[in-house]
Amino acid sequence: MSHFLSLNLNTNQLNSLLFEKQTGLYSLCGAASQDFDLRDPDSLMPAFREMLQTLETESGTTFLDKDHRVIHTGFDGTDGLNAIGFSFSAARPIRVALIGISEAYSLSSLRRLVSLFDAEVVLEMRLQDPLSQSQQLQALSNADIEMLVIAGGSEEGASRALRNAIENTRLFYHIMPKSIQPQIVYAGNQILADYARIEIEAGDDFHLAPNLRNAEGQEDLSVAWKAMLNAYERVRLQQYPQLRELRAQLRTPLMPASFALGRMARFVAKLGKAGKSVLLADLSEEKTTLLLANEDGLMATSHPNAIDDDTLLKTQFYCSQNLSSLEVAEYLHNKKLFPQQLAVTISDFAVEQAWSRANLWRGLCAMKAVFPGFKFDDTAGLKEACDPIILSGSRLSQDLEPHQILAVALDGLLPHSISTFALDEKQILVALGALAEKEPLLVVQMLELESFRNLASVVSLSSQDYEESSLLDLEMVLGEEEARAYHQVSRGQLLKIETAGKEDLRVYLAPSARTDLGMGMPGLGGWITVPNAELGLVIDARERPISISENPETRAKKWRDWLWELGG
Amino acid sequence: MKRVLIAKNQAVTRCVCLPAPGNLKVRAGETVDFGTVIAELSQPERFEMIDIPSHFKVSPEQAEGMVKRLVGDVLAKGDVLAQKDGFITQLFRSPGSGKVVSLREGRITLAIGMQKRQLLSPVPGIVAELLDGSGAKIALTGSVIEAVWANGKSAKGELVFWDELEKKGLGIASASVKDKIVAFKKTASGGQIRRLLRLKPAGVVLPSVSVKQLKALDECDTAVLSFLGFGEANMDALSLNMLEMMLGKTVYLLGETSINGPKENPILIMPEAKLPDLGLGKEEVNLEPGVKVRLRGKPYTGMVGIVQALPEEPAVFASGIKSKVVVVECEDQQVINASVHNIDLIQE
Repeated sequence: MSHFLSLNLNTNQLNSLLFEKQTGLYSLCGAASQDFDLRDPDSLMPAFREMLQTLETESGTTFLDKDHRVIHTGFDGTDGLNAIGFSFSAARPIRVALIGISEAYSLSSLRRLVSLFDAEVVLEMRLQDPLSQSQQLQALSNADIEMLVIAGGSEEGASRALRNAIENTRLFYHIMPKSIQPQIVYAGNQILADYARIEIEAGDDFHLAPNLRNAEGQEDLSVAWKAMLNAYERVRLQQYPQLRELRAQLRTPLMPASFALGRMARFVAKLGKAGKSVLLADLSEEKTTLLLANEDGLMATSHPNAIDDDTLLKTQFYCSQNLSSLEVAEYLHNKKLFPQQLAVTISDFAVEQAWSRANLWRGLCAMKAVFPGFKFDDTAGLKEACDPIILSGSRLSQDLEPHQILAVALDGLLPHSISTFALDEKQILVALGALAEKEPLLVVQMLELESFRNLASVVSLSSQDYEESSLLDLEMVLGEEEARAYHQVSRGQLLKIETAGKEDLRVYLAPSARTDLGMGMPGLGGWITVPNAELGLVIDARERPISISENPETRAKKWRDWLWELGG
Repeated sequence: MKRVLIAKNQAVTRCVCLPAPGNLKVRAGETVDFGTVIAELSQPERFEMIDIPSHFKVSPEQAEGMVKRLVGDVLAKGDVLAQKDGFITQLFRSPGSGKVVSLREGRITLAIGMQKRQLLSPVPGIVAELLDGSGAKIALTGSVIEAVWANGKSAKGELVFWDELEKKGLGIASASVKDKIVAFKKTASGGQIRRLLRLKPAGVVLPSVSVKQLKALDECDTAVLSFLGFGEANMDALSLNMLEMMLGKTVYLLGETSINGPKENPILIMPEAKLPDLGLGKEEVNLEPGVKVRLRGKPYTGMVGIVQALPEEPAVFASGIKSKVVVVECEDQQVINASVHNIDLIQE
């Protein structure tokens, strides 16, 4: 029997999943969580040991030796762990500076590259801008950065500006006093790669990657992931020195949870239907991470759940109780002080759910800003067909009922076309993503199992004429012996049809001539198979953008009505 | 379970850190006072890169021979950096006092000026530990009230109550507030806050901060802290008792936090002339019947009571969420079933 551990850290919790392999079959054999405080250097290792002891009890296997150190198989007898994945999802971002030659060819690529690595871009330098070398150096010195990523230049192209930037990087790296030694990732003109390494003299703090643009000028961000992962880990170990002991015991590199999720998003996209994307949305108390993968590549964004004017307004807009912006802000500011606080009143709970919707919306807007090709409109929602949409994170998996989770996702994302909504309650995707490189078969088998909660299949309509009396007719085959059921869906309706435990319910969708179900063209329908889901089949015929009253009382009531339609 | 410290004769440690390692000015075991320099950090004010080849219109190779300085040379303003001989000798002089930090292909990079940043002790005490060249951990003993929010600033001053000053009714003289730490017993209105800040107090202690005033208080130069968070709430009874004991005495408001140091909540402390015992042997309070707790969340924010029971069965709240509860009897004999997530254990 072999055991595989995946460990994820956020600011105040260690979460782990334990998998076992027996006669070629993998299964999830344990899960444990342990509270700790990432900013308290003494709390991590005791929490880790306590968590492993819980897993020892659950699995009946020994993972710690007599000195409370992790046993790796082959090191100390037959017990122990065969492979470990180690991911990190705390909200504190890495302060990154980007240096590129041009906006179109280097800086935009760099933004996309760092979006997968918990980065907050605090400085961007376009070498085509008329900044003197002194001004560039001054800007670098003032920015208090933890990582610097340099790209730009074609292999045989002009190099003077890049050389000057490299020289500035050397000065900045060696002269300025810093609490965190910045990591330098170079992914530019490869003719200058050796020059950059020798000139900057940063030793292990220098990370070389191939040029982000190949000889044909095509962008390929994946070539720089290895260098970014190394740089990421070195920054995190400096930010939180207490991680070093754990890292040494685990003997496995630390990676951002968003990167682990990205691996899984790409994997699921490869398994999925052509022409559809996979969307993963992870909402924790601290931050929101969105990943979208399709045959064109991977898009990612991750941002702390900061309280700003835009998100406050949007939260108030989404709130199913008529609350003033002051009341909303007050609750959210207090929640930031006390993340564990429970929403015991109806108003507080309404703000909680509205805040999750607002963060999804903000995440999509952030993704659109970094990936201009992403099909999204900040009022009309997603224009990209996504299937499946997998939700995870404590803000969704704790305290919410299935219909509330679905309502949050539907309102925040405004999906397009036909999508399956699933909930990754145990954060299994992060765990598998962290282990994927070491145990690829584990990923394949676990994704085949019923690892997620299937919430609903959702058909989202978009119509060129919402005034039509009926936007969609449905015919449902309930069983060979039973009569068929028929439904008609009109404008603004959110219709839930329970599948009532039926596996693979057959449904015929007949849209009106001007209604698009994402099946190729407006008016085109067809048979679909709806798997058994907790909420069944949901038809979302609300307009895009959602048409809702500006009167706060009426608007709040409308959100409540829609929630009621989904389950009360 | 969150704990909040409202206690007399309490040993406390505070980490004070520079943003980057600098020169430490204290030693472990040393006694420091409010304002004692703990560490210093010097860094260049600005950089200037001088391109000698383009100034003298020569090649980089020729320019290298004209540069009269080496890396590390300390310069005064006007010192010669480079010289081109000829019929008329051309000189290039340093634009400011500083240091040569780089010489490459005739280009000279100067670090000009020195910014000195001093880290001052926000409180009197003993240096318990030095922190990697970037600061120190200060230990002291005193009466402490732990807060939940501060605007990142620290202050020292005599504690006065705004409510008492207002009662006098003749307008508040600047002298009765200036350089003092002013506490409010009840929620402060926007007008009161504006009026107070104009009188330049050293610090402001609030039971809670109205979100309307958050931006102004966050950005003001005066140190501000809140015991209960945001919204409208009156001072809880335990904090109020402690504040009354501190009235007219010198107190320290510690609201600075370091991103690289351990997480420390803001506190208001009145030091006592006792050696700190570092808290060894003090028992941490656990959730059990008989302990004091403070409630969070509307409409109970700030209410203090005693735990009567810890029912095994979770309760369902108005929101529909299930949670384990504690039965708390408050001072007004009101009995409240509060979620275990919405209480603070009081460490006295």
